[in-house]
Amino acid sequence: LAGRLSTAIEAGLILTLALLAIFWIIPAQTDGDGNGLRAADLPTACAVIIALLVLADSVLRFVDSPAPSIERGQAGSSRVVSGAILVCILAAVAVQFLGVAATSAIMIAALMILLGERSVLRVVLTTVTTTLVIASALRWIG
Amino acid sequence: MDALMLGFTDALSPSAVLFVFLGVLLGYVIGVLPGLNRPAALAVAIPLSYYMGPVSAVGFLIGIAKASGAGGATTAILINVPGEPNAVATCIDGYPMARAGQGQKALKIALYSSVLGDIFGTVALIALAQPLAMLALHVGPVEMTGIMLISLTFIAALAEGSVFKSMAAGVGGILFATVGTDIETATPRLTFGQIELFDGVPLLAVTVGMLALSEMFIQIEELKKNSDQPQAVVNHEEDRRLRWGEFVRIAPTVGRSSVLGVLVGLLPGLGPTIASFASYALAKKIAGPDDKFGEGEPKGVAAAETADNAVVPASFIPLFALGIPGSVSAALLVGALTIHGVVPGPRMFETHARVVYGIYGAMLLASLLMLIVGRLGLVGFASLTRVPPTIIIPVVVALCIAGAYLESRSLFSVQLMVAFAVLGYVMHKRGYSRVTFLIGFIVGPLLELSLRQSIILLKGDVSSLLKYPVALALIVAAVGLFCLFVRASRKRS
Repeated sequence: LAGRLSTAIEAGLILTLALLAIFWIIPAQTDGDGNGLRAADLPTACAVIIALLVLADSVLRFVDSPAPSIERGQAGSSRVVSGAILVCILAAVAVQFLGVAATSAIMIAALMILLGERSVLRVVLTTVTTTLVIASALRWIG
Repeated sequence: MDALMLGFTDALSPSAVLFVFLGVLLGYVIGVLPGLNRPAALAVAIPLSYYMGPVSAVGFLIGIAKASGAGGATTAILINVPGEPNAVATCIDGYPMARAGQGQKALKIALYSSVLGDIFGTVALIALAQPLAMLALHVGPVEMTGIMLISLTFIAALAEGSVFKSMAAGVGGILFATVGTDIETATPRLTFGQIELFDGVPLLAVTVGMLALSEMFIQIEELKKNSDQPQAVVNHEEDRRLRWGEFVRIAPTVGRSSVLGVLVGLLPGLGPTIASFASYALAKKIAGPDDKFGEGEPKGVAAAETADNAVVPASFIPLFALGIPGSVSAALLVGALTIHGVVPGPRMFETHARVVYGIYGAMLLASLLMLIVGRLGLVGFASLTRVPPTIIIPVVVALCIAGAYLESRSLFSVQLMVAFAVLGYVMHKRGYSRVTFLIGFIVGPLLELSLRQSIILLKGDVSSLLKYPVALALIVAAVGLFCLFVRASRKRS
């Protein structure tokens, strides 16, 4: 049931996005009639094709396959991945205030600790060395 | 002839030699380090190539692409961990050889086979790309549209998982490629008022995000699932020498696998994994009574490694001749070439002949350096397998952020790259091919141009397609192939 539910949610989400793109986003964000193809034609065609392919895949999945089993220990790894994604998103925001080198330093240390690195020496050495390399590269390139 | 001489002179200039050497060295290190793979390494390295000349830049990237394949054999042989799917076939006989005290011999076989396969693939590229490009110059936009459709179908169908999802990922790539100023009407399209998007979605944000950063998220997941780190096999009484007789014994396998690798590389989408498995299967099928495949047979290692490395240069043939990237490495090379004002495709041989010959020279140089660096660092590289992923992953993530920033000195690029990384990770989790997405994104503008020209030529009348039998046949074949692959994948599941 879990597998079928996630397939249905995935299909529903993509179909909603495709419909939004076809009826709202693409018409609002395109302008102009070209020769042969209008500016909106290819993006619209792509959105329609994606919707049809995902729909076909979901239908076949419902007909063909049994629900996949959930792997043991997956929740733990998902938490760490979510943490890493969060660190990257925060880094993408922080980079405009702190700059690339300082953000990299904080991010490396945070990720190493998140991944389970407990040797302070390793964390410090890796952070300092990588930050120095990045800062030198930025300076060298100008 | 002048262009040929000038191109080879460019390839042998001190700066080009240095960058090719650095590429090969970096490629070996990346190949050996657990968790890093060829596409991720190339994606991270592209921003560095911005500041090099075109021949040095492409030579540097090709050095990485070639050597990472050869370096990947080290972990496959010594710790039975394939860094990439294409090294799985190497594990089958490489690891038993290491366990039997022949680890260094297996590494030497892998190295020599890789170099020979690579040289064969490079020679095939030099011999075939230009004649094919001359033919391609006579291909009109209608036929070009057909070629692109069939190539995309092939690439999507051969990706892992559902054919529908892979195809949807490819079309998604095309959709993202439509962002930016419309090539015909010069009006902004899907830019949401962001000036940074007027030139389109930055290629580097897509490649680094989709291939490198999202790959790190996947590696974190794998790391947490399999927390036991395998140890390298150490045997102090090793049979290290590769004797001439042994080399002669594996030579026919190397020859056959080189040809097979080139044939696989020519077809878009097949890639090194299929080449190495097909080559291993062929070697096993024609094995003699003394060959013990699966129990440490040197021919098994040679077959997998030769084909794996012959594919890389051969997959550039469709790129140079038609402008269509047949593999993820070729797709990433498009980015590097475009940055330097070189548009891959048949006209490249007329407009940038010197650069093309320079690239050929750099590729041959990379093959030679691969042999030297690989042979000298045979033992040293093996020790790199001990670097823990808790160090590698954060460093690569930081390099991704710095690389995305370097492209346009814009924080928008960094944010976009992180967004694409999250998208890539979600796509991986849900079985959508990131490689197909990327190839769709790169081919997108070319496809739109051909499609527009085709519609003008056909005057919007589909029945006029009958006047273009080759294009019609290609489109019918694309649809037929799609149906065939759907049927095959349903049978498999």
